[in-house]
Amino acid sequence: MTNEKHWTDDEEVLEDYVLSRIEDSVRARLDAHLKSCAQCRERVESEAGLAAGIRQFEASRIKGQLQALTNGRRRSVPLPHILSMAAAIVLIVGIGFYNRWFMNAVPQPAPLEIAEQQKEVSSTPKDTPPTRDDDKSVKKHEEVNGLGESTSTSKSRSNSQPSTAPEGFLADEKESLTAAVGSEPYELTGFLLRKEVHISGESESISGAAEKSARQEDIVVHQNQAALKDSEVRKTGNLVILRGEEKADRVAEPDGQVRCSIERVDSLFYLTIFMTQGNSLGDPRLVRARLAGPDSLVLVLDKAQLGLRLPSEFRGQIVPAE
Amino acid sequence: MDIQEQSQERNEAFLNRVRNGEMAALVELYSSSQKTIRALVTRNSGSADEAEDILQDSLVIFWQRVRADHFEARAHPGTFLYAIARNLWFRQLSRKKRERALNAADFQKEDTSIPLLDEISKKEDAELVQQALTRLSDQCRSLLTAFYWEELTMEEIAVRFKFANAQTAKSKKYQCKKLLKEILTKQRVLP
Repeated sequence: MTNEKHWTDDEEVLEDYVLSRIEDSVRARLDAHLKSCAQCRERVESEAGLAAGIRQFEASRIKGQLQALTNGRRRSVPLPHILSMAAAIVLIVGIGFYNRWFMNAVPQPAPLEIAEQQKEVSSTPKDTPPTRDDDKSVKKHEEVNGLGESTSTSKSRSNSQPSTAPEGFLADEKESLTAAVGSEPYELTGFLLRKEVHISGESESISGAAEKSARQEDIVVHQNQAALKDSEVRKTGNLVILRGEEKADRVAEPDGQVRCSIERVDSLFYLTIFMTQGNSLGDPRLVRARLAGPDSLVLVLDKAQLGLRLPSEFRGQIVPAE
Repeated sequence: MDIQEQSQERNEAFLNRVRNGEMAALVELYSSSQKTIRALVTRNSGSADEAEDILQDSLVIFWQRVRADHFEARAHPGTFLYAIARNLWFRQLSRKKRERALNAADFQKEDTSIPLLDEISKKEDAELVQQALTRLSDQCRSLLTAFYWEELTMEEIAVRFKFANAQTAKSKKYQCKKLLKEILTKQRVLP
């Protein structure tokens, strides 16, 4: 070792490097130095080992406490709460397990016409994201799996298909759904769809379970993005994507518009629809969603179909089957 | 206040309980998520016991992420936990596959053991670090876990540990780390 200056001499930089607190551009520079500096690599390894050991220590401690507190509850399953009246629907569409999610959007073709997608969707995902049922205002909580499936339909399982995963997820995760849309089957890699029905005993207005919707600031409002060709299907007008600042008093659909919000949280894509029970479009609890193309979804209610073209930031997540 | 706001407020209150170190909040999340995470694992080639392990490991990660402020109330805690569990389980499945593949390869190729040895060595080192930590004072241990596990900044550490300022926190952390390294050096883990 000479008097040469090494970045690993700086304890803070070393810690930041190991804890991933530095910018990518800086990291690239540091990495370049590591390639030619064996001593520096050793220091990094040493610091990383220290951090790993400390983390494991604390994780074990927390896990031990948790095990002590949950001992005897290993097989307990909370019973669903009992219900009453108004409903909110959350469709949670997990489209995240795809590399392009974290990259710049690739230009996508225009959505397929909705009229071609009148057929039923044939399969469902294998697992269902969780819901919390400790919400006291929620009297009933139903969870339904799958595309093209309602509370009253039977469930079918899709075959697992490999997907490409974003950072933090494994490339060989098997979680996908093949949705038959019109004559063209489309596969939505890593697709999950959850429908939650939240029932409140005192109010007929619907919101709730919107998770992040009130925060979303940058959603583009799309109206009439997908036309409905089937004359028998009532053309209900617009599917309006709510902007972040819009509140629950805009939730109802007096003008025939259905409000929804789209957002991305971690690897999930959330589509939340706000409807009132007893509305003119159909029972919100029976809403179904199906894939209409690489960048389009169709929401199917018993009296209406609504097309939704995904905002650009969400496009490219849906890939047609090979 | 509408239902949505109430829901967000409840989420935030729940997260605050976790941030404050209230283990009971974690137990509540355990109870409400047990069924779905068990279903996730058992429907994907896992056993009930493996599901339980994944649930607990996920809760630990959830705890860490919330306390490190890497999670906002924008998503439901249960959803976030599910995403963690899913990630963990599929990673574990993948590792199992790799191990099976490696075992098969062992019959054909002998030098594949080197990465494994590295891994074992790292694991042993981590265990030694954990042993060394038990020899530190409670405050030193807490300070180092606050920095490395919760990933708090020096300013946050100063507030939590009631140090005069971030500089003092930094100095204390340096001392604790030095002490830990000394213990480890005696154990010959560190050069």
